[in-house]
Amino acid sequence: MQRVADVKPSSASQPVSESTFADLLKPLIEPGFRLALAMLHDAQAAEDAVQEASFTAWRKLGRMHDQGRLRPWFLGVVANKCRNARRKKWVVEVSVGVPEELPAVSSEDRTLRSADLRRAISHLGHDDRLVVVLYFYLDMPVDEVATVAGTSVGATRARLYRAIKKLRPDVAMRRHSGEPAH
Amino acid sequence: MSLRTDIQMAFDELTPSTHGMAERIVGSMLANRSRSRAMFAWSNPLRGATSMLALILVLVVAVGVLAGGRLYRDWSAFNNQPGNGLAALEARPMHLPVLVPGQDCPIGPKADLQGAGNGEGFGDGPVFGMPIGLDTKSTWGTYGYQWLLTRRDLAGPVLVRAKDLVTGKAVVFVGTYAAGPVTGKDSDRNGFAVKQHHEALLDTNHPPEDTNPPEVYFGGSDRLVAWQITLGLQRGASGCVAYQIDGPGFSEVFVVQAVGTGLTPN
Repeated sequence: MQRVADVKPSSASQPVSESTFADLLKPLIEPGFRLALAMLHDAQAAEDAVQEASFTAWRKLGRMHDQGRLRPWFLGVVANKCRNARRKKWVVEVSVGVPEELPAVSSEDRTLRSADLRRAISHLGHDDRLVVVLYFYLDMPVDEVATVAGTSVGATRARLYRAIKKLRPDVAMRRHSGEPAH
Repeated sequence: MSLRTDIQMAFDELTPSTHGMAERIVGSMLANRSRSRAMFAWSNPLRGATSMLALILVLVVAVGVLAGGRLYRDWSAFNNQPGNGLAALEARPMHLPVLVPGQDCPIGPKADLQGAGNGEGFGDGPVFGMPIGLDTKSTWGTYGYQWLLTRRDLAGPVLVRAKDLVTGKAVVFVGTYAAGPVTGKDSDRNGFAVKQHHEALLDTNHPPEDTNPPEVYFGGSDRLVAWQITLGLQRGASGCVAYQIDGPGFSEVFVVQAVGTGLTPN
């Protein structure tokens, strides 16, 4: 599966016209959907979030001055839609894609670990969950994660450390190396 | 197996096929756009009436603001009475050090935080500062973050104000803990507006959950509560920042030197 880090934005720093916006947006739909799915744990809600984000991105096209920033900008819009979606009661009701108890067919250890991990991530706060998903699941560099999250690089690193610690208390944190544990 | 691999496998298991999704969503967006244009074309004859309605609404809002202003003044007068928490703290005069030309930044007093971060801290307590980290520039200036640590037994509002000692300009605060009137605006790196304030407010009765317990970040201290505030230094600032921290029963001053990617020159 293509990771978001593999999607190369255009290097041109020119205003984005409406005629090219759709073409620019297409490669971002899948990473946007994967981000939303990891945030919401519900495929339909995730697709709805990406759809709404696409409309919003279309309307706010005039604010987009740097084409090379389209990817983090769009993912930031998706993240905001996810935050709003989680606030809606109906999403809370359907976002039980992370089962509290594993179904009987999930007997393998790996499935158990994956479910535990998804559950642990779903219990993180929105901002913590966002940086974890962007950094670990979508393979985005820390500076782009910071752009999407709307915080500084330092604050993003700090948030990653804290989130990792919450997820895996036993994960060795290389606090002084400048990068979180991989 | 690494945490990254674990997480990717965990979510890839959930991800359905996305074949055709991009075309479906973008196509839907374009169709919706066309419908919107058609709707606006249909509504052209109604624009006159809509404008009149908008004008009436503006007048109603203006009257509401005038009436609300009186209520606000009454509320402010109440809030400014001595002893009413934040207003009382805001009324305290600033007593920051004054630099003479050529004087070095009077960093300090230093605090031994014993295990918090690298142990380097400032202030006599009950609030301590860590070194400022600057990392984001804008046309207005430079932004960064400041960890403040409060003693866990501290209760009540804590008001944070700061000034660049060389330029004399107030440090601005943005984000979660920024408080008080909006004193300026700037744009973040995504082009969205950021509101600047000259105060930050810590509600020690409700410590932040995302930066606590501080042992997660500050190496095992259970005596302190950690707050990460975001601050901005205007273009031309020296980075020699004096904090005045006021809380119930104390007023504290310490001076730190900002470090990081550097300050924006004039």
